[in-house]
Amino acid sequence: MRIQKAAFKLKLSEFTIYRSNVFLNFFFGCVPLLVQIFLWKAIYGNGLERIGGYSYKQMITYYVLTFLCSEILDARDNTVKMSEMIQDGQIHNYLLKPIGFLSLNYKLYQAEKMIYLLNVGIPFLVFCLAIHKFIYWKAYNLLFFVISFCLAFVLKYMIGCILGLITTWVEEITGLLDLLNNVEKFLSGSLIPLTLLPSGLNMALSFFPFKYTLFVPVDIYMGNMKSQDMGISIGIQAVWCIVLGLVLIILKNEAFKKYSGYGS
Amino acid sequence: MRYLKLYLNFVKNCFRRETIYRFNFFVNMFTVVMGYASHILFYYFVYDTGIEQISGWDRYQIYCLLATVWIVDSIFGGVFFFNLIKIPSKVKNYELDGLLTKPVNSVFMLSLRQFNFGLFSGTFFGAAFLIYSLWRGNIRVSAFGILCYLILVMCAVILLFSILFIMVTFSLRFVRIQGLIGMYWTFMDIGKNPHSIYPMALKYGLVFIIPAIVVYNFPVQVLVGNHYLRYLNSVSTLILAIAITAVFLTGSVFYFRKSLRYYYD
Repeated sequence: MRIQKAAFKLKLSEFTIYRSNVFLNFFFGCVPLLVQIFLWKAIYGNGLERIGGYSYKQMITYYVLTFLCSEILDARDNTVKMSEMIQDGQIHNYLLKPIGFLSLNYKLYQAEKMIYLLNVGIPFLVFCLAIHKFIYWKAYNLLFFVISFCLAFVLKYMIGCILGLITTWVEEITGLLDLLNNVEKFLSGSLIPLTLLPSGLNMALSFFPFKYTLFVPVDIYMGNMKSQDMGISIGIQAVWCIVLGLVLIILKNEAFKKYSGYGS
Repeated sequence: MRYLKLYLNFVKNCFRRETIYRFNFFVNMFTVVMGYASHILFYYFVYDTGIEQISGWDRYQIYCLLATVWIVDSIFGGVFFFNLIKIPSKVKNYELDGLLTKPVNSVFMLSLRQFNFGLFSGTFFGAAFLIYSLWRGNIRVSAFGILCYLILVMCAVILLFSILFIMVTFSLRFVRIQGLIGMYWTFMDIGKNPHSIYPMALKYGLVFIIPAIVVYNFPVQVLVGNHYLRYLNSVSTLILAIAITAVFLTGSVFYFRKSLRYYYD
């Protein structure tokens, strides 16, 4: 708990330095949401009541929620930082500390995201109120949404860490990160609700972890899932967490065995 | 002629560097292709739900718009983007001082030194997708239409250059401008959708204040005939685009020269 508090304080002081940048990014991130309102209005203007199981309001809410969730779940900065620490040997400083590298890194990551959420929470609510006509306020399964979101948070963190540790073998991962980012946007449902895809493709995507990092929590909020499906989806999220957790531990051990810290 | 020779040397140097990092080149190219492919898939699946048109645009007209976005972004990305984006760091590290002492036009040096083949290759993918969309959509285009399209694509690239150049020139005064560059992308992305989804007042703003519609929608309008104002035809669209481009280009160079004076002081 003491370490968590220290991490929170550290990230808070970092945040105050880059506060204006964080807010600017958030506000400009809201502009594409306004574009989505116009675009989907034109699409629903064809007389369709529901598309992919979503009404117009649900569709806009889907994009608003995916925007907030992807901002909170975005682990790219942490991955790049981890990769740079391996490249320039800074990781030495962490290996000498009397706390596990991943444990400390997760605590810092968690603190950073909590501060982000606390700061953009009010502007986000104001934004939602400003476009309240288009928002679907009914949260059918809020508790399950929170559980699913927390699991998605851990999943995204672990995927990011695995990529960061790969730097030990391939040195440069920014190209790989950009590639994954583009693929993930589509596979996680950030670009389009996965219910719009053909059922075969949607089924195939269930075998990848990406769907569980964004689409599943948002769909649970919308109340589109039956309670049985919800249980199964959360169960699969938990299984992915265990599998990726094991991969991460094995990879970390192998990476630190190989890591020699040249140039540090 | 001297500048052409110099530019060819720049391109040659960049090509040599790309051949050294071949893996990186292919990863970059594949990443960009995946990015555009996901946007195409978005509309593919939306139209697959049984929708005939989105605000008067059918499936293949939208594909023509997406192909144009791909072409414009690839040319701009390959020729200008990596040069302009480095200007703030050149100001921060005092590299700009060295460049200004060279006996070459400073705008030329700052905007054309790097050529990114990975991004530029997207032009060919975009062109192939445009031809496919015109063919599948049974859209007939005259030779004059093609000429107008090419001129409008050129205007679009120059406009993108001018707007980003104005943004990065701010770094001569304020140094840290990441937020502004984020704003640039956000507003330009608005133009990547069909113009007819926006209300009229916003459309005017996106033509005369932030010309995102001029950049991405105007070229495709001369191909598919879906003009943003009913009384505009290909010729008037062309004249309007050239006039807006000339204003932005002149403004950006003028602002750069003025900011340089501030920088010298």
